[in-house]
Amino acid sequence: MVIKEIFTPDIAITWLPWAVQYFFMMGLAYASVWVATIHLFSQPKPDDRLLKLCACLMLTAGIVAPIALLADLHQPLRAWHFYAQVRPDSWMWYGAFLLPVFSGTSAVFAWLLLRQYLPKHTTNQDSDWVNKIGQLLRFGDWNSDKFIKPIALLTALSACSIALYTGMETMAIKARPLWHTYWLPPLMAMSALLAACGTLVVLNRLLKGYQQRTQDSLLLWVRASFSLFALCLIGWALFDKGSAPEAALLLETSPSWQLAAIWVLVTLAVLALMLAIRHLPNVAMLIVSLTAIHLAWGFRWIVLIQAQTDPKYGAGTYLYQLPWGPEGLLGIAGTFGLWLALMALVSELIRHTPAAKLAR
Amino acid sequence: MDKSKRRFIKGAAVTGGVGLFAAGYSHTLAQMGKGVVNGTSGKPTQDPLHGNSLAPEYKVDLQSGQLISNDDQRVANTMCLGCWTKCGVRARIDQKTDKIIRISGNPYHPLSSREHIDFDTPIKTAFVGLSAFQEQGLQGRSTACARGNAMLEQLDSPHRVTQCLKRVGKRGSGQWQSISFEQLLNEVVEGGDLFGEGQVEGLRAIRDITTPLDTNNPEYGPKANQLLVSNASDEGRDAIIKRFTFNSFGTRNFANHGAYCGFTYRAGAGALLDDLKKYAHLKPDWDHSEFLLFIGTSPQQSGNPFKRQARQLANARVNNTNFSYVVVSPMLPNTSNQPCAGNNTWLPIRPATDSALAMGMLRWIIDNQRYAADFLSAPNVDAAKASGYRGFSNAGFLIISEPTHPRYGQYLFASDLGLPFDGKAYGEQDSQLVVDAASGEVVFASQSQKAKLDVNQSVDTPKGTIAVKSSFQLLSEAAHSFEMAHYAKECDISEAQIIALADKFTSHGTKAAVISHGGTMSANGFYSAWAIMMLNAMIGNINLKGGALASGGSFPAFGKGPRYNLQEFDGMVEPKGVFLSRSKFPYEKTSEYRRKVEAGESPYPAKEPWFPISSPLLGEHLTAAVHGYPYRLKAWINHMGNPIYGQAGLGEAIGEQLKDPKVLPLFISIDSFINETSALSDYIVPDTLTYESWGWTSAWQGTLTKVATGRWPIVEPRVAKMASGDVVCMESFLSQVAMKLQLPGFGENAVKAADGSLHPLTRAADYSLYGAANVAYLGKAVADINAEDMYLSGVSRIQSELNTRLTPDEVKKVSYLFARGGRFEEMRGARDDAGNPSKVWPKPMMLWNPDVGSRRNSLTGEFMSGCPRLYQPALADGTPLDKAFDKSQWPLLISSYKSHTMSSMSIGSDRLRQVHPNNPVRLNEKTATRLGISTGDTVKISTPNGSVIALVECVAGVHPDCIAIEHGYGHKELGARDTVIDEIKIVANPLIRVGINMNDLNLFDPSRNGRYPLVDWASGASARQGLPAKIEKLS
Amino acid sequence: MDKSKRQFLGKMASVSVGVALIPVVQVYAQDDKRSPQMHSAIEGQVGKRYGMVIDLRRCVGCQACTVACTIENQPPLGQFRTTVQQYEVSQQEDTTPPAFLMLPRLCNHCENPPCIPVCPTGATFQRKDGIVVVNNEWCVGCGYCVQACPYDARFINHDTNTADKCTFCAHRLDAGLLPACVETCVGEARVIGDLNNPNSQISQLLAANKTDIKVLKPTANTAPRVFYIGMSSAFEHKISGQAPVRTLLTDTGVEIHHGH
Ligand SMILES: Nc1nc2c(c(=O)[nH]1)N[C@H]1C(S)=C(S)[C@@H](COP(=O)(O)OP(=O)(O)OC[C@H]3O[C@@H](n4cnc5c(=O)[nH]c(N)nc54)[C@H](O)[C@@H]3O)O[C@H]1N2
Ligand SMILES: Nc1nc2c(c(=O)[nH]1)N[C@H]1C(S)=C(S)[C@@H](COP(=O)(O)OP(=O)(O)OC[C@H]3O[C@@H](n4cnc5c(=O)[nH]c(N)nc54)[C@H](O)[C@@H]3O)O[C@H]1N2
Ligand code: SF4
Ligand code: SF4
Ligand code: SF4
Ligand code: SF4
Ligand code: SF4
Ligand SMILES: [Mo]
Repeated sequence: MVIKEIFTPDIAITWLPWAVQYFFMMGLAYASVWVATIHLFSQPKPDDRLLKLCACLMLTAGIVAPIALLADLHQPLRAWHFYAQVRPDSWMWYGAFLLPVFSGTSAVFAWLLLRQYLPKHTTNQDSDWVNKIGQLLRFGDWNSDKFIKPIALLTALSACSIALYTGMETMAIKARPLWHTYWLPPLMAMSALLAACGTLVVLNRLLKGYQQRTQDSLLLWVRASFSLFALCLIGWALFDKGSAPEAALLLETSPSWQLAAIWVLVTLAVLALMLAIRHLPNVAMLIVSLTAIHLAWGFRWIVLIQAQTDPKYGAGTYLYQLPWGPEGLLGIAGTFGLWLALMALVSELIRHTPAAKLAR
Repeated sequence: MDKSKRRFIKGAAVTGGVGLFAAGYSHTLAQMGKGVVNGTSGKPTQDPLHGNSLAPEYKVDLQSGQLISNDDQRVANTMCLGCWTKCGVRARIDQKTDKIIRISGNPYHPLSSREHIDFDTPIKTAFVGLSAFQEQGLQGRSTACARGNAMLEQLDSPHRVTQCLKRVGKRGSGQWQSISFEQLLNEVVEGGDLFGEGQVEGLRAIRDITTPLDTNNPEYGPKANQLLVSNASDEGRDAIIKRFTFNSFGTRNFANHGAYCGFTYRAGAGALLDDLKKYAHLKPDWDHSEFLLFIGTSPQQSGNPFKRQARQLANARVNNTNFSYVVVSPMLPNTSNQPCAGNNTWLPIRPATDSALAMGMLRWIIDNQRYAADFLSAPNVDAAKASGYRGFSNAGFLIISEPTHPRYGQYLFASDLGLPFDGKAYGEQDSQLVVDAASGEVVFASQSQKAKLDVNQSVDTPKGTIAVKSSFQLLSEAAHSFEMAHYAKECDISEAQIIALADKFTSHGTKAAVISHGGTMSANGFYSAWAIMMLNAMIGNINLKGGALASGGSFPAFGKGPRYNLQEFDGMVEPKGVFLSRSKFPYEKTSEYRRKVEAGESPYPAKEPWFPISSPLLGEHLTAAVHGYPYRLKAWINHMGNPIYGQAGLGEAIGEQLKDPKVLPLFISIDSFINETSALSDYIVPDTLTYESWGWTSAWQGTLTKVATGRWPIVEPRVAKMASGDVVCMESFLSQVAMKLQLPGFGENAVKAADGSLHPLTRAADYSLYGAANVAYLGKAVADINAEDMYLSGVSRIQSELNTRLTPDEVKKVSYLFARGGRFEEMRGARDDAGNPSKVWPKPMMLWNPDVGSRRNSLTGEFMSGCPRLYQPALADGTPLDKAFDKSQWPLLISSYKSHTMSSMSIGSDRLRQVHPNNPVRLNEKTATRLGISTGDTVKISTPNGSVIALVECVAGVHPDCIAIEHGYGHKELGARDTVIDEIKIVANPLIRVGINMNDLNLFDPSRNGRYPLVDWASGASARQGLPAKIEKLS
Repeated sequence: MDKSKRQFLGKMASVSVGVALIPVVQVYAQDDKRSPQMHSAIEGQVGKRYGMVIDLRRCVGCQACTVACTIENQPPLGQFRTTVQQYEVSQQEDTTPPAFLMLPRLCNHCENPPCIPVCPTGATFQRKDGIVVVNNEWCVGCGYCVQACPYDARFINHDTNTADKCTFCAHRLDAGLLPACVETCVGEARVIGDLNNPNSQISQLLAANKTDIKVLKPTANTAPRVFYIGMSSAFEHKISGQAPVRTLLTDTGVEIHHGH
């Protein structure tokens, strides 16, 4: 039987690009928590620079993410409804509780890591207002180091819960075969890690006080997370029974999906080739990082936005054109803008000259 | 980098980032703001669960069936004009806003129900019958189709014309000024230098019913004929337009859209049914047929009556045992139903070759004697009745078959043989003759029990012997003029399939029927349609249960009537002269012909073709006016027709000339919208929409009971008012013009009542109100309305209007009618006890029609065939299209089909258009592959005189030679273009422009002098199926 | 999870979280005793189970239902609670000619609706008569239910910014009337009724056509309560076939955007 669809309406997407921003920013936040925690616990002499960068990232991305999420709600002011109902069957409902917990713990974690860089209280007359805010944020000069590890553990756990719920929330949707695969949560998590490491590399460059050592260890992280991501992707392609065939079907017919596939493959290949080079020059490292970031973002775009153009019943794909306004490009740029602003603020608040050793 | 520089960059990053964020997030913030204020970021709804769903019009208690009305709404029965089916519908109206909020079917109306409820049912009972109470509404559904549901949006459309408009600047510039009705009236009647372009003759100057407009050709009639009045079709107000045109103003020139609607079919059916006056046609008995054949019509997709026949067909498909049907069309029609694949099939045909299929079938039926011999050989009703038929044919009638005989092609009459006859020789009472099968004698048709079918002999007459043939013999010869193989090749349907179809068709006795319509609008359409319809005659199915049925009739409003004589009045003018379209008038009677003969020249070809068997043809009227043959127009008043959009090639042929005031000095449109035609006018008189106007109309064929659809303003008309307070609309405009010119038939004492009293005809409502009284009192007068019906039906809003003209008794009865949306005969009146239709078509089925067979083609001088035969689609001079246009250059054929969602006038409805916003052309996938075209490609489609850019859909369901185009899209007006009124711009909606209009793919007839769109050479109907074309891929 | 269990958990959670608000608003979203109309609209017609049969043999593809629904329920332009899709069905070898199948679709008011459990606020729920509805004053517009419906039957209404879908025209059913789409169905293809009542027309239709009843995506285990007569099994699952042309173009080749 050959079937041709002659007459069907077009259906608009439901989750807007804001969702991509949420998943992306959240990924940066929770993955940087992971990096920091693992580093703290695995290294006898932790790299302060790395921890500081992680802290900056988890703090800023952790603030931006829920803001983006709010925008993806079409009734943002009703967010409190999540807390006024008991919906134990809904992953999203759990997310509503897990998210603030993570926001809290990660903020505390970041604060603990960054506290030493905040200006000490002085009576110095010429300290400017930035300095004064920094002093305030330091909350006195007491020693908080002993809290770092316990909080790190707690935050890492919370980070896992976020990775789990964001992954599962999507994965749980049987109605979208593309999403409904156990490969999706690890893919999301690994790409988040990849993006976070890439971002850390960039931050290392951007923020005053570049350290080669930090970059070297980050290269290992990038290599590892990329390999894991690639492995998951291959695993998905080879072993998945629902999602991968659906993707194959789309690839057969839809030019935009073909384009997306080519893009993913080319990016993967470029990354793989570059990461295979033993000694990456600094510029190359920057390129690798940016490529990795864009891969992780693009992956989310494909999963969250493009997947919605896959009709649940009909043939072909729905039309989607990225709007210019808040529901499209401006929203995307806006979230990045906010993140950039926060990053600038944070970096301004903290000192970048090597600080006193952490006492532990 | 020093600190300050770093700070600066960071500062920039912060402000830039925050700025971007603020811009991106502003929407969310705004939503939150709204959330704070309204409790929702969106638009608040009336109800948390039902959102903005409309409040129910009333409630029905599911236990008791009690109806509780909703005082905020009223429900009124009126008429739909979403297409020309003109169904009765019920509209829900918001009492506060006076807006129509939803439309569905009128349960009293046969066109909206499968079995309509009895006319005397109380309104309340009718409403309960539509409800969920005892699930009554499921059986009793009275529906509106997609357009019927959607057309309410037209009422308050931003693109409506509600004021009198006068053009500013050139015709067609889209710039208007609003003027008072009085100014408009004065200017069009008195004329003058109206546009600063020189003097324009007003209607007063044109109205001269005595002076011939052309002394050389006196048959053209008086000067008054230089006014053309056209009306799209009878939507319930045709009678008053004709009264004005013919009998008051006295111009001969009136036309409607018939020529570009389905006139080939109507003419073909009329030729079969011996009705070349009103062109009656037949519809199948959906409820009892066993086999139906649709050639060139698609009852589940369009057709008159679209909705009703779609529903009946669906019902038959599921409920009737031993029922099946075949649809013959170049493109897979919606009538095809895959879930019932066993009992219906699509038979693809090459466009415009239907006569080959039909003639092939006829040939096989005749050769194999599969025709109903008893029916055909019965030369009168009584003889037919004896063998169980309810109609008869002229198969055995004798026709003079000597080409040189002055009465070639006509009946042999009693008077020819010197036998006794009544009345005039060859008149109505002169008797036709047959060869009696039993005696072998030539006898009166009325007196023979059985006529010989194949007669080919000479008869002795007092004036010598005359060669005669029977109609059947002539048809048989015509069918034998080509081999089966030739027919098969022509239509691209194999011989075996033709035979199988003919076999099937003739295997169900009289429980089968074939119908056609717009699919025959081709350059050989008349003969195609007649050939198709002839198949019915072969099985004698007429007037029989399961067969082909005549119209159920009407309760006429505008005739001589029991209350008011609306047909006649003092001083009535009898229009004279030749229609501009040269219809209904043989060329041989013209002065032109006489002059040529007198000069010893060959009288053929005529300057342009004449159409002796045709009704007035609007397209030919217009091309005639532009080309000045036979004469020119001075003014055109067009009510709601849109020929520039609707007739293939017409816009390109004359659109530019119509913009030239020298060609057409005065052009007045009466329309509710600015469509492709009214856009070219000098003045637009706003017109009431169907929901705001008065009118009386009926159903086309297809209902077995009498129907009179009554229409009344169910809402306050949105149009301007004149100084007197009456609404500005078509009726008031024509009345005021007539009164200003002091024409008979309008004014204070224009209408005579049955009691001899005289009544005024001055206001918009008058004529229709008198008509309503006629309908109410026809036969057994209808009941008086009671208080409950009055309350529930919304007719209380027109009481004062009714009281102005009607007597109190009439008002009660007329209200009773309007409450029900007209007057409708009960279902039980549809059939007799045997299930046969109560209404019968009385005239014979014409195997040979002398009115056709005795006429000549005015270009070639050849006789037209008096029976169906194979003609290829051809130019006016008979050159086949595939000779005239090189096949290698024009390898494909375009054909159009009606959209099941869109009609030619519904594009403005957003809620409708969103369902199907475009019309990609359909191309056979194999053809497409050959041309390197695939689905979604942009292509250029060209015909010899036009081209458009389109999107393609490659499908299996279209003949490989055909480019199939859905009709109703590609508008240039109706909101597709900015319009400026009083310097205020009414902004276009680009979605209205989407898609293509097949009629922009022009084909001008190269055998005519000037730009004339191709028409069927025999009937003059627009040719839009099977036009040569090519397609090229653009991207 | 069954309802009682959910309620139990709900109570537990409200106790443990200790937010006094929860039971109040929980009741508000899915029941509202403050107004008797609201209460009965939320309860539905107790004892009935509404369903719809769509007889594809009768559907003429006229789209009257689509338009009636959009006018009755006033979703924004371009968003539909019901659609009728048209399919050309042909055979690989052209032994039989192609034919059309018209497929009306709407919310299936599933017995096991995946759209409900995912909802993080409880704004969407099922009435006692089986009708699945959304409380648009409670919905946060997260779109999760839209994603979870396997039939594309839901959408975020661009006017209200909340989830929207076919309600079986509960406002009409509750008033003793028929849904807009049923009322205007030209082919008489749509039949709504009480599945619990063996004498209802829908039950009779289902019984009479037992062997020819199908639902969409039976393997999704949603237990749809919209049934089809005359549907070939190729249409039970996601269509694999040629997609329609969705672009809008004028006859001069200008592309027009879908926005309304
Ligand atoms: N939906 C809808 N219904 C309508 C209308 C509308 O605009 N829309 N308009 C109303 C009006 S005014 C009229 S007159 C009727 C007309 O109703 P129809 O005459 O039935 O409709 P058409 O589309 O003109 O032609 C019928 C069919 O002819 C087929 N066809 C095209 N070319 C050829 C050919 O060369 N040979 C054969 N055999 N078939 C061919 C196409 O399949 C087409 O569907 O419909 C009325 N009903
Ligand atoms: N290619 C192709 N061409 C076709 C057809 C086809 O199938 N294919 N179909 C043909 C057929 S069957 C027909 S009948 C013709 C139809 O052609 P016409 O009857 O000439 O025109 P319509 O497009 O029906 O539009 C009538 C106009 O009336 C106006 N109008 C609408 N409602 C009202 C009202 O209530 N009052 C007033 N005063 N005006 C109103 C609008 O301006 C509308 O444009 O088109 C024909 N053209
Ligand atoms: S068929 Fe549809 S559009 Fe035509 S008159 Fe009837 S309801 Fe209106
Ligand atoms: S069809 Fe979709 S929206 Fe309707 S009940 Fe089933 S899952 Fe929910
Ligand atoms: S959109 Fe509304 S109804 Fe749907 S899941 Fe979210 S809150 Fe629930
Ligand atoms: S039942 Fe009502 S809401 Fe549902 S599709 Fe029909 S008309 Fe629309
Ligand atoms: S109204 Fe009825 S017949 Fe028409 S498309 Fe809808 S379901 Fe089919
Ligand atoms: Mo027509």
